[in-house]
Amino acid sequence: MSAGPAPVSPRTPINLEKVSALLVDDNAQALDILSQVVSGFGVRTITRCESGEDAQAALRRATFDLIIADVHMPGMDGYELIAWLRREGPQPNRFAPVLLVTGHTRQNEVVKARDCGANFIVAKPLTPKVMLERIVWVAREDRMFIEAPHYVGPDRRFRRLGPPAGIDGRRSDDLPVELGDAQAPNLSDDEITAMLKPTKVAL
Amino acid sequence: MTAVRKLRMRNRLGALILDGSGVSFSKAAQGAEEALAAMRGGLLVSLKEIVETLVVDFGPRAAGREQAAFIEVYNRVLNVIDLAGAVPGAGIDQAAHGLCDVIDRCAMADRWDWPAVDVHLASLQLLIASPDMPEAARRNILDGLAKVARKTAAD
Repeated sequence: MSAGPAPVSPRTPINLEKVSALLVDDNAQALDILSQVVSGFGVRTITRCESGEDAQAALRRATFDLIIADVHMPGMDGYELIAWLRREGPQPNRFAPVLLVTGHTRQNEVVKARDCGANFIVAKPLTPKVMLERIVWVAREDRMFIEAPHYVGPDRRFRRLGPPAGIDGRRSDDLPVELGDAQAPNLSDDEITAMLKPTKVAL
Repeated sequence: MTAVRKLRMRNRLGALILDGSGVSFSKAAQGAEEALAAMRGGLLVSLKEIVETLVVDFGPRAAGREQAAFIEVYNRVLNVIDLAGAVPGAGIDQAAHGLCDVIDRCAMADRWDWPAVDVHLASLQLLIASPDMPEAARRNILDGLAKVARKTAAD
């Protein structure tokens, strides 16, 4: 049985004016696009960072309601930034919703995004409709926040993906996955959604 | 037994944006579409420059391209995907995704398939130069690239 939020209606009223967003991308033009899209939604308070290290400093300085970060960055990449945020980041940012964006979405990247503590991964090129759907999705979701030795972040129990590589699963339907570096074709946003949609499972 | 803590955190984002006020979802998305459309001209110029540089560095006339690192070319193609959202429907993102797939497979085989790379770069140049080309022509280009990618996978 699916536990994800219901689909968004085109008439659903949303108000992003009071949202404070942190946007992280090492490509200045990609950051411009992301900023334009987010400000086009009505967000008035936007902090831009061009590296994971700058984002860490911003997260120590201010409180954010939404974090959107690129995966591929030199130095600290998006996965490392979010893993740090979930484990060592300042509160309340530690619990803030995180969307990771990536250009070429291999299956192992979706799994890495899940395992670093991101709420969702969004495939580039960014389209306003898909980005807004994902923002509303994380705004409506009601996942527990998990703190465990091997994982800190939103509850990531998904029926099909099984436990993270190297960790024994505890459920009868956990799949024995050895993901390694998957060399699979690019995943669409619909395929990512199918992978990340939370599903209630019988324990 | 390992300690696992489960916390029920208040969703601040939800409380802020879903309070019943504001504009409709479709109007908010439209606002962002319009903001993005204003960037289209400048981003097409940037896309053209990025692909031209790729052709100079890794195209048929590039000296020493056999020594090119897979990850370097891959990361530079990602720059194309980064900007392709500003030109929706032009197929630029699909061609760039296809090129990333080809590079992934080359990396797995540890050898370049330069004809497959070249045809993707040439197609990217064409798609960027003619973002408003007839749909049938664009479909022909993308179908051709898909066949090349499948062939690369089979080799």
